[in-house]
Amino acid sequence: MSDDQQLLETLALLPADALLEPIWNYSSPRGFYYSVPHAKDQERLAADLERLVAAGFAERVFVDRISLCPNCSSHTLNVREICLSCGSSNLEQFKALFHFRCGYVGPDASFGVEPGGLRCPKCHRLLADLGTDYDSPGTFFRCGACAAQFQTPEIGGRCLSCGGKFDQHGMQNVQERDVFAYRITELGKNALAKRAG
Amino acid sequence: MNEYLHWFLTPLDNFYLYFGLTAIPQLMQSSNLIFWVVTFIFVRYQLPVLMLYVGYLFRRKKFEPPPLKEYAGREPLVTFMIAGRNPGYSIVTCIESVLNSDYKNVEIIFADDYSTDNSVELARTFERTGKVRVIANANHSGKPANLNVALMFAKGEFIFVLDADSQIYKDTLHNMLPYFEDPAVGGVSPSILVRNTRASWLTRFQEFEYVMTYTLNQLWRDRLNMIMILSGMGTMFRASAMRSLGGYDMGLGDDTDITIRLRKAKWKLRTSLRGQISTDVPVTLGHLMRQRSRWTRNMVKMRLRKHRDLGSGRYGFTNAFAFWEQVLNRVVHPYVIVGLALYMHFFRGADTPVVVGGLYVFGTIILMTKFLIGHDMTRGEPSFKTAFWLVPFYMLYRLPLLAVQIFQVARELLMIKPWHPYVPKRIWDQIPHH
Repeated sequence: MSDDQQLLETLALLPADALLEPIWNYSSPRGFYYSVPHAKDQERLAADLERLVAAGFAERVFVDRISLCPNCSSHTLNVREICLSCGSSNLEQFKALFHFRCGYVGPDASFGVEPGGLRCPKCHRLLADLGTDYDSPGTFFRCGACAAQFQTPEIGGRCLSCGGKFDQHGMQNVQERDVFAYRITELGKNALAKRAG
Repeated sequence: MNEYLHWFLTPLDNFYLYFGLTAIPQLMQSSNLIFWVVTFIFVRYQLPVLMLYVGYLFRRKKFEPPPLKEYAGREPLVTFMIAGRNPGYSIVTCIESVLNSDYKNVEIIFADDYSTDNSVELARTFERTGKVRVIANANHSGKPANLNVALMFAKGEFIFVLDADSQIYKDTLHNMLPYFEDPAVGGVSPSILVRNTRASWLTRFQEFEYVMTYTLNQLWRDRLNMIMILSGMGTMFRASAMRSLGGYDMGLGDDTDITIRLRKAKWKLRTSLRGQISTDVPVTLGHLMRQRSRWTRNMVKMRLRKHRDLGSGRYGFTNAFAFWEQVLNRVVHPYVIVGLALYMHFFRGADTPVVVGGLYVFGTIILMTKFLIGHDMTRGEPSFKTAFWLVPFYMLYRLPLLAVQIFQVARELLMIKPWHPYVPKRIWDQIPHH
């Protein structure tokens, strides 16, 4: 069978008037697969679909982008926020409060909670109204491992397949794979009609 | 005129030179106002600096950083706290100066006061060094509030508060840290130099003014334990001292306030001659006058309102003396100058040109002396090339600033428009105004 004939065989397997959408599956080697009857090899199917697009018989629609482990290219890369200082993902989020009158700034947990409001640890006055007595300069992170506090954490990764751990710098080497859905173009439909005729 | 000359020439007369000791009692009995004015100017504005210089010449070691003991061979973490609103590119220069320092164990926290320019993005480019953290405040809250935000994040044993338009030198920290070998020292101020000297005539005058104010005056105050301000442009604090005070209080004049609170808490304050920073000063007269208006009003707010109890003697003789010296020098003195000018005009009209001329020459000689002393002690600041020829005109530079002082002291004493947008209104309305 020539290459063109094989391509047309693959084209004939696609749904005639619908998108061929990826089906997400963790245990699949690529993290997803295309449900095409009689298609045995997903890798080869993916390559054929790209060749159909190049030939103009099919077009692709962007669906998503997945990150792959810099070590083993697995899709099982767990991405999460990490500490700027030590790289631990043991982060706790907290809100800081600022008392207008005395200027104290500290985590909300450092203020005493009372029926009438919050008690300032510096001047021991009662803070009744948000916006009038106090406000928040923002929400921050505290590292449970090294106690560092910061506003913007780094992004780090852990591969659930090979166990590799990546800090912000390592994450710059993450490979990305775009995932598409496919549909047959008018040119593809004509080619199929000619083949049937 | 004869009377005036008499009192000045009397000590030079051969007879009195020979019997020099009798000249002083003669003068001490003088009823001539001008004699007392000249004496006051000499005692207040020349004598301390002359004594300082004599000390410098004969006990130079006292002016060098003390020997290292506890910190020998180790660098404790120093947290730089920079609070700023729309500092622009100067934040880059400021952070780079710290990162390029010979002292490597530093962290830098830039607490951004809700800037509307690209300051946060510029500062964040340094976060990848691992030494810089940028905290963008969700609201505009003023400088002291942002310094308190930075303090919450600071991990250093020492805190260096630095303005975004200032920078340190490679050896600044190594020259300032040794003063903290004394566990009673809570804060050390550096010598502050002008960075944009060549920007305008005004900046050249300020170069000279800063050497007099932030180096020479601070140093003789240091020797007498009379430091009343650790400049907000740049000062190094012991973190535990700052935390024991609960950080900064709200309001205007944050640097004076924290200095006086440290004094009240019995922390020792020092000035380092060799630890230097440099800063940008106002280039235009309008900007300079607005800055000095703010400083003058803050000084009255702090000295005569919030911390007036310092003058009562409750915090010891030195604090009371330093307090009253400041009140006389900064609040009363400008009015005395005007009063004297009016007196001369109305009651001594004929003598006025000679007296004013005499005082001008006398003042200029004092300024030149200070220039030379400053130049020698700081090893080259202010520079002869840019500033020495301006010394005779320095008193003219001070005239508009004297007017600002007189006007703003009166406005502050009368509580006319006491609010300044440096502190947002929502916060101003909540803080106590003593």
